[in-house]
Amino acid sequence: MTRRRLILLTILGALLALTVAWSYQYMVTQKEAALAARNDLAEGLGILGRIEQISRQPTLATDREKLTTETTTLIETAAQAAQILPASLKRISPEAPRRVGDTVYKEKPTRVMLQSVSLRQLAGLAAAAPLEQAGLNVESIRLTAGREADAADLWDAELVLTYLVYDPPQAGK
Amino acid sequence: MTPSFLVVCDTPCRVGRFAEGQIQWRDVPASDDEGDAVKAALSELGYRKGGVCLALPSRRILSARIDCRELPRNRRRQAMLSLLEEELPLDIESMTADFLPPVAGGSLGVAVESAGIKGMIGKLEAAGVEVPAVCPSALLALWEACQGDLSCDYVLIAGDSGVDVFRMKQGLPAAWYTVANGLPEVAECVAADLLADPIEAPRATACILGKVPWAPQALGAAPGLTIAQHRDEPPLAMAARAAGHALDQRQAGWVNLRRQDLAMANPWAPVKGYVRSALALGVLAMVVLAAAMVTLGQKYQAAADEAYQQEAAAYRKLNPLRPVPAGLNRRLRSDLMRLTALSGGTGQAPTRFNALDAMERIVAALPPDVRLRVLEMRVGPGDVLIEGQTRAHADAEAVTRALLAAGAAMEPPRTENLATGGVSFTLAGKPPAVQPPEPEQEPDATTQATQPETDEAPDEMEKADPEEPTP
Repeated sequence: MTRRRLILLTILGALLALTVAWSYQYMVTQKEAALAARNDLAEGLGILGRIEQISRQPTLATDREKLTTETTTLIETAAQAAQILPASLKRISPEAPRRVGDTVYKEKPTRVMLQSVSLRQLAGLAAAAPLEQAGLNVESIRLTAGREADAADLWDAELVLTYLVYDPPQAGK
Repeated sequence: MTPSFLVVCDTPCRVGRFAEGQIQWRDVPASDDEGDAVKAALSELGYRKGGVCLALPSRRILSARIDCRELPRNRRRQAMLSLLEEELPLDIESMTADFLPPVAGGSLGVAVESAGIKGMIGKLEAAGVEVPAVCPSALLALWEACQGDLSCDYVLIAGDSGVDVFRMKQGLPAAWYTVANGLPEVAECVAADLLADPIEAPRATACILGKVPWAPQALGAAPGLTIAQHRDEPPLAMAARAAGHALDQRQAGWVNLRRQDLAMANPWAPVKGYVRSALALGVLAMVVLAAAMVTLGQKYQAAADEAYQQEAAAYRKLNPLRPVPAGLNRRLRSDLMRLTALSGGTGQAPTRFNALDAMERIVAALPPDVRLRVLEMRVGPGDVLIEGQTRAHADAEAVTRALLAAGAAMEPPRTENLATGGVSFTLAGKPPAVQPPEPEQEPDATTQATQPETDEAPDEMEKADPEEPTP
């Protein structure tokens, strides 16, 4: 065997060995990817099942702060359902949200001023379905006796309605 | 000690066996099949298998000294052969040559015509005799002699029909002459060499190996030459002793002409076909292995893609309007965490105080037999405040006790007599704790009689007219 042929065979042998090594590495890499994909599939299907289950449950909080108009519309709708005259709904004042302790939630209060409403109307407003579905909770009530003599069963009321917003604190803040 | 065998390629051919200091010879009878005849003679001496050394007579050897001082670094041997070819009446293609170690800037080249020796080797191998070494018998004898204390300028080796004259330098032969075994011829050869290449000492020394047909001391009478040693031992016996070393790869005789055209056949030749087949199968196996691994890798890749598509399909089923995000599992984990928090499953969900429920409990707890007027009521997560009017201080205390019994944390009532009669009171405290919703049960008749219904309680609670005095 000549030197040139020997060198050529050596180069071919080295290339063949490299090809085998690359093929093995390719197979091992794809196998690891397949195993990871299988694990991801099991995990993903489990998570999707739990998401579907949680989605059917009532929510405690929202993931965004409602627009002022949304809250106002809800309260007006609830007042209408409670047979409160529009003139009695004196003021709706959204306030700044505040964090609830060290939790991931914030509370968004809205102050509602009512005039000359009965307790039944007030209860009807607080328990109205739109407010309950929107997660609005009556945090405080202030009742003041009406000043009109012929309105014995009517009160001036100040309600603070709140709803929870899911807002985890940012890292570093 | 393993016996060594020597085949002297002369006319007649002789075979020898050296073992334990003893040498045995056999003459090979003339035969049409020379190889078998040699094999038979060797067998008589105890040869069974193994290599024998083929010793060449000096008449078959051509030698010349070449200059080694300006040889090229690459293809050095080829250059030496070219220089030797210039000194000898043979061309490179028809001769086989080897060189002794260089001494004094030159190297002694030894050559033989390949054709005849090749035929002899072929016959021996055909008869089953291995011939790993081919050496001039004179060099074997000289090498054997040099293993002892042999320091002289010339070594004369006596042969059957001639004398081999070696000019020695630094213990190695630097020149080789083969002359007739007459005294004048030998003396003339030595004188000519001294003339061409004089020595520094006043007189040259010479050693004689073997028996010469003249008195050794007669040669010592030649001017400038002294006989230092004379050994009667036959040179062939010395060559036979050296043959064992030649077969042991110890470079006995300094040269081995089993090269070039006389080189041994490739020991792998009988199995070359099998080796080639094995190599081809090996290459094929590696190619198949590589292809199999690539195919398997592609199957794994397809399985990974299928798993991803399955998960993506499940995601699209749950979120038909949203595209499948990159990093699907990371997004799913994030969504799960968010939805869990939105549904209050994180464990951090705050307890929400409902003022309406608290007010309902407070109103329900008011004692029915106490007349009072409420001017203002405030219910919040941490405080309860009721301002109103009643008939007596004890009534205010009764209301306080009733609220305490309902679970409210009330402070002692602050009361004040009114000018118009009656008592104004201020009740402050904390609302009852939030109770978990009770399971639905059949309404109790006793409970109905004492606890006013929630919806009607506010209507029954008298709202005070600040201008009308309390009856």
